[in-house]
Amino acid sequence: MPPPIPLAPAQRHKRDLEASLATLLTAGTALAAVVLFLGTAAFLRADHSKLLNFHTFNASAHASVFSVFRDALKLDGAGLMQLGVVLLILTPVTRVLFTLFAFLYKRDWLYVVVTIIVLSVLCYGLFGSGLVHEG
Amino acid sequence: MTALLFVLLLLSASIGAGFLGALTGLGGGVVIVPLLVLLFGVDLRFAVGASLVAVIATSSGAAAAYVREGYTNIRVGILLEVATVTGAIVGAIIAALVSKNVIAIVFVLALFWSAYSTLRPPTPLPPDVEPDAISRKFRLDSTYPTKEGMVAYKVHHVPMGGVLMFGAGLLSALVGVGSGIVKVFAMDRMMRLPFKVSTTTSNFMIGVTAAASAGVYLQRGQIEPAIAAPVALGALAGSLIGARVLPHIKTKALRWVFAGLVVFAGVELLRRVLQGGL
Repeated sequence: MPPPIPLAPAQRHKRDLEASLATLLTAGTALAAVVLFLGTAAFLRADHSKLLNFHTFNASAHASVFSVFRDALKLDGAGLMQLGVVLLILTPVTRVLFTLFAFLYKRDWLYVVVTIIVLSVLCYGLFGSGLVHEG
Repeated sequence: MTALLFVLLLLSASIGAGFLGALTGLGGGVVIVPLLVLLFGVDLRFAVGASLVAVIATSSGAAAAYVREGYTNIRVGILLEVATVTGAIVGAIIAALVSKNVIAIVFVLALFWSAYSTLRPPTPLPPDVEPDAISRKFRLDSTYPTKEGMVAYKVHHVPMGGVLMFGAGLLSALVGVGSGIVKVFAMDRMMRLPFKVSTTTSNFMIGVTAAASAGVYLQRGQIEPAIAAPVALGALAGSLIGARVLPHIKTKALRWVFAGLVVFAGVELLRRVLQGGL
């Protein structure tokens, strides 16, 4: 069998980036899944007979990324579950951040700007204070 | 019902939803929202929040595999993500301003459209070869692997694609779906990307879009952990199993069953809205 044709540098970089992104996505999802599982188990262990009713909307108390980390550290079941949720949300965000580093490394300034815009909008969604209307 | 029963039932139902979503390519979102609202009596606002989290889980799980294969066009993805995440934030803002009935109706329309488009066979378009200025400036043209080697393709109508992506993001944020169908439509039909590039790049973008709106929903307290955690876990597990099983299953008949279920769910949701609102 003939030896494999070596990829041109540009293609090899693309492949490396793709492989890293794939690993990142898998790792992030796996970590989130573990935390979700542990959180659900902890929640059930403490509250398995609690009656749940979500028929009407009442804003959940687990609503800021910071409070979620704080509650999770207390090993509270609901806090851990929400931490898993936050980790899931952060996985694509981390992916975009990683892509930013890749473009910075390649000195691809046009795409550095594009990626920063995407990242900013994502952060605004997660932390932006103008998005929650009281009452 | 008790927390234990609720979580176990939710887990099982979500595994089913994720499984079906992976097999039919329609995604779990369209199943999860009606499932939560109709079967579990969950308020629509919680349902959409939980569904978005599940969408992130399933698409991130799948995106890893697709990116590895080399079909995903990362530059197209990132560029169009500007449009989708902006649309997502706008959609999330609108969601808080309109009534649940409006959201439900939009959802039902999206449901019917995705059932229809899943059954309609895709008509192949001849690939365009004229250059596009924006694609050149943003270096979007690329290649994808085939059995005969790398095949080159060009990307067209980027602004229009951007507009459609904004709409996809808005829809995703409003009703808690992945809008994969809109994204694939925009990239395949409008921007003339090869089908496999469109589907994988769409998948790549879905998680980011959902994360944008999920952030807003989180802040508004619309993500209830006792709902979102089991749903996300179940959907993830189901979709991974579904992806495994997919090459061995004839999906044609399944799509008809799925479309039927989806239409039934849509009609039922509509009925509830018309008979006194959600």
